[in-house]
Amino acid sequence: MEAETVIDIHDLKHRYKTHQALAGVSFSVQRQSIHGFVGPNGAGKTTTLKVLATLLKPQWGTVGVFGHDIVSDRKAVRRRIGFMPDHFSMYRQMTVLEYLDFFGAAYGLGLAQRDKIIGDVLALTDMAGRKDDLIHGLSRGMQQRVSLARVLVHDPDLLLLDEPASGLDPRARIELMEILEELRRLGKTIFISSHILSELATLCDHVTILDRGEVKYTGTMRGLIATSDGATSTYQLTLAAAHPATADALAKLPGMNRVMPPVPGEARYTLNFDRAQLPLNAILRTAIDAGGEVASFTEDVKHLNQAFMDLTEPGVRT
Amino acid sequence: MNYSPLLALFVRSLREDARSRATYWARLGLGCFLLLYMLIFAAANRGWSNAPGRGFLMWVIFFQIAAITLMGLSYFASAVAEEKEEQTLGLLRMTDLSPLSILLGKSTSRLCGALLLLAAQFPFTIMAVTFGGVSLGQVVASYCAVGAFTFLLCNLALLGSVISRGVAGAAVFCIVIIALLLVSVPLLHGLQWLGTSYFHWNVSFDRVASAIWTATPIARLQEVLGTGYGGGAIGWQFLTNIAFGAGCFLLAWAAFQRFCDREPEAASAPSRVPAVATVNPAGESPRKARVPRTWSNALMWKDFYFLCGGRLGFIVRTTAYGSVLLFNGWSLISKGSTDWTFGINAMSFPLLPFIFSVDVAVMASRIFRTELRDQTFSALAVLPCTMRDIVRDKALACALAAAPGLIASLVLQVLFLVFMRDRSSVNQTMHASFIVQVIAGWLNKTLLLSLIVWLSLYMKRGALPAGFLLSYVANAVISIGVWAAVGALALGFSQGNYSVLEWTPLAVGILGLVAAWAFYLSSIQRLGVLAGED
Repeated sequence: MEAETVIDIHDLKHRYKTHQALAGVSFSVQRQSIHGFVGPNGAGKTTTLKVLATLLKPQWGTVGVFGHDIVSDRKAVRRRIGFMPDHFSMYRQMTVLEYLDFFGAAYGLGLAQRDKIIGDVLALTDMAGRKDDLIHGLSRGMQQRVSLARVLVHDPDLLLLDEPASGLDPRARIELMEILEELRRLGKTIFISSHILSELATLCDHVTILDRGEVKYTGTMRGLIATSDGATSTYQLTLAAAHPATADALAKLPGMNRVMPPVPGEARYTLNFDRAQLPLNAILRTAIDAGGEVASFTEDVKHLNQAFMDLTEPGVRT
Repeated sequence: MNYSPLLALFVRSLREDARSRATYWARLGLGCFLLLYMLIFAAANRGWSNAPGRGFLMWVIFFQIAAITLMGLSYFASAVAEEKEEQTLGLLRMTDLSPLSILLGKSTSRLCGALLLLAAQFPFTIMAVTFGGVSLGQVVASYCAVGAFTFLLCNLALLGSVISRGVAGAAVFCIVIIALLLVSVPLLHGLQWLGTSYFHWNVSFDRVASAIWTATPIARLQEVLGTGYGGGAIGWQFLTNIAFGAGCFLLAWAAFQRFCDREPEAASAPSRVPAVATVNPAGESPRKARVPRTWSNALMWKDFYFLCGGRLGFIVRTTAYGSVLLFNGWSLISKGSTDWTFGINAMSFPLLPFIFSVDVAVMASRIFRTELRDQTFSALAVLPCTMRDIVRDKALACALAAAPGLIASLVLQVLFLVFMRDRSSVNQTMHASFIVQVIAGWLNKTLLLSLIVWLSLYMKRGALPAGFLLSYVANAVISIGVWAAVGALALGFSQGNYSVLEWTPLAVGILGLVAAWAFYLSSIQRLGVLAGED
């Protein structure tokens, strides 16, 4: 069964005076997916998100959200989306609770409904203990959580998140990603922008790469890797200690293209292999049989960064 | 060229002003307006007045005083407070810039800008001498009085800016100090009357009250613009204003370390005690909140409590406006229009609506500007409602907060008009003219507020004084248009019947209402654009 299309953008163009922000962008987002929207600074990500959030009218092309046209069915679209801009859009003199209650009421929720949903989103974002705190006294990470809670307060089906992890420390980033995973499990579709592809690598199942207002890639995350490097994959195999015999055994496997030795003092080998010929289980089995103690076996995210670099053009956009 | 750190900011500000086109447009605009007004004044007073030059000068100088006072509430008061709000004061403190350098750079450059604006008008004002009835010495003395008042206000606002957390606080500080100075004179007289009447004190506050009153620019200008003034350019008002201004600057310098050393992280967020929860997901018993739960009209709730002062603001407004209304009502109803109560009522009649205008104009200047400053507007713009709904709900919040002032002003005006009918000195024509002016006044307020809101969508600061100034200019221009139309159509002029001119304010008000509608539509459009840019 084909997945339902939540966002459908076709030939979207937008121009700011002398600057063409979007030059014919087309892609779609499927229901209950986490769709990464990646591109360097000035690629047109925020413009696209603002068009999707109905803040900007498309100058050219069509944009549909849940089958509604974003220009003619603006109200219907707004009820089903939650938009989190790339800055803290917060009333800092309110408490967390007042802030969420205000947006709940603004979306037309009744008192009982608000009480329930605010409780739920506070629990989800782990902010229940700080609900009576003034927003301006919260840390950046906590403000980001409140911002996310605000987006969820009217229970939207689609979340549009513009660089939600920017400026957060590593712990806050990881916690944010965990919340987003949980939201996907709850049936939400998440469209998340970032200028760092590797940040989204483990989270997103689909990705669209935008550069200078043009779509450079749209599809699955796995497809991105395949596109960038033919039919091969690159993985990192980390052993408890350096073990040359394991590396030798892996190098002899049919379909293994390259086994890069670890840097001195480390035990992480980079493996490049043909996915069609060499299943992941076979690699792990060979490593274990050769006597290596496997600590981890993960896809190489540096590889994603390389794919990103290959797809986007260098230099500052003029 | 290298400048010492002491003057670095000051020189930079002057350079920015010199490079900005707006500076020259403002001076040119003001000059053109003065020229235009001068022509109208000359035409209107031809043969009617013995001293048209004095009348013209008086109008220009009082216009300047009003403009400078309004400027003090925004432009001057933002000197240091804007750095606090934008959280850039810490960055300035990290450089070699001393507190004195920051104060000079942020405030003295504004003072220079304002004084240059005054200087640009001076050549036009000298034309008053050619109209007759005023000497060059009187013009110079008037400008000295205005200049000294500007110096005082700038430094008073600077002090407010240093000790306050934001621009609004600094503006309130200025208003309170000026109001205290003005109120102190009748207060001292009242105290003296009470003391001698009831407690048999043998004290006199006359000299103190007189010293305070003569230090005000109003008293000085009354003296300078009086017939046959032969005094010098510099008087008591000049000296006291300069001394008081210098004192404020020194105080600001002394207080800088204490009030500006704190991390300005929360500068723009008004301090308040957090409300206690009423929603309690854990099922605990809800406690009473200081800010109640959000109303079904959420936007109205938000702006009423977080923009217009909430319940406390409402109580303060009700008390303040209510007291004036009660006193006036009591004096009119119980005592009729005796001379002394009539005098107070005659003062309250235009003053209360004017104070109300300033009150709502402040709200109008902040209604969208705070959302844009705090980048919160995009969150409102994606709510499932139209931009018109947002504007309506925000306006309703302001209307609710302003209701005490609105009711008090209306009731007072109606009472005054009713009781004024009994005055022997007021004939039917004058009474009708007052009614027309009252109605036109309310129509003009609509134009003023919509203009201020519209300006606040384009100007980061200064929408409030610019709104007052432009609405005055708009009124003058529309008046000229109406007079010209009346003249062209010869509606009564040829028969020597000028009573038709009494309806001019109403015509101006109605045209202003049309302009207000145009500003409303333009604001809706602009808000849509700003939501995308936020």
